[in-house]
Amino acid sequence: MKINEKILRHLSGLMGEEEKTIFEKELSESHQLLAEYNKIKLYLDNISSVKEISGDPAYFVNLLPRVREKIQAKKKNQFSKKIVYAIPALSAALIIFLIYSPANKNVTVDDLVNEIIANADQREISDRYVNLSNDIDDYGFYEESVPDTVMIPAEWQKGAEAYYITNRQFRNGDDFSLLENLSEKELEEVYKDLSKINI
Amino acid sequence: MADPNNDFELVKSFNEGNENAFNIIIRKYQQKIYWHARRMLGNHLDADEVTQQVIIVLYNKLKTFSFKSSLYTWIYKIVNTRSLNQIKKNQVKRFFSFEDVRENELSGSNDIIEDISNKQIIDKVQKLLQKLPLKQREVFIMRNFDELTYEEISKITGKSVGGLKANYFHALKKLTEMMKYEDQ
Repeated sequence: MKINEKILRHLSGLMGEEEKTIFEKELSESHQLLAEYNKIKLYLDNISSVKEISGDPAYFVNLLPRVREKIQAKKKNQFSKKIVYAIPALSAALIIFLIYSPANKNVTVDDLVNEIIANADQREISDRYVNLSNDIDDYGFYEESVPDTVMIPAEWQKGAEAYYITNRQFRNGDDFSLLENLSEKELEEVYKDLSKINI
Repeated sequence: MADPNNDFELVKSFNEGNENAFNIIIRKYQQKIYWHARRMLGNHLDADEVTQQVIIVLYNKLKTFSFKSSLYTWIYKIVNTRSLNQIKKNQVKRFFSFEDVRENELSGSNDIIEDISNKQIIDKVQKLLQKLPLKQREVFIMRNFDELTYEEISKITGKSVGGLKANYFHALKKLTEMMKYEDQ
């Protein structure tokens, strides 16, 4: 083993007790080893002596106030971040509440149907809106010749586009009970379309 | 009022809302934090950045400190980890940069050491330390500058004492080789 390596093993604490004793004995006997050991030790001590150099005291005096400012700024940022996230969250919650609120839940297709039935003049609609009486057979069903679409009379079309009701399947030939026999979906469509028309 | 020498009382007092206790803790350890970071990183700007980060971490995490180790060991662990992270960050920065960032950092005029001869000595030692691989640098700094035992270093770094001794040996070997090169 090289002299240098022995010294470094000793300085690193890598030597066992026995090896350490032998080395220390050797160190006390060999001038060459001692000189080399002292040289390395001095070199390392010189490196370590840097720790005695202190920096500008003002830096350490100002360090804490600077960091405190940063901490405060971060706290403020966190608060504004919370607000930034809270506003859209609350808005979304409000929208969801309005959509699914109990008041809105009660409005069903049945309500729409009742509203149509209560407000519509069935005879008038039967006569003028759905002119089908000639096409319904004895059993109350459409004949094959019934067109798929029925047009709204021209005088009803003020400012509105041509209006179509497609593929209606009526089960009963009674003109007056036509609306009652429409399916819920059909009634909803009729209601929507009628409400658009400015009579 | 908490005893300024008793870390346990200081931490307890801070956790009970006494902000002044935190100031005392920081004033007690700020130099050690800064100089460890500085020796690891080799320049003032990065050391300052890491020191501030560590103080902020302490402010936020002191509530979770359970005294399983000493406060000093815990703080040291944070400084060391943050310094290693900063070194990695700088390496990435350097990799993607065309100019020599490191040289700019080391020769930066922004420093807390005003005395020119002291600055020269510090720069020389910093350059030597920067030549050591990270693991060797870490253990050398802790042994030689912070005067920690292998057991304390082991608690901080989570490495075995045997491994630390081996790293220290290699650090000394490298430094003595550099010394010989300087002598020639």
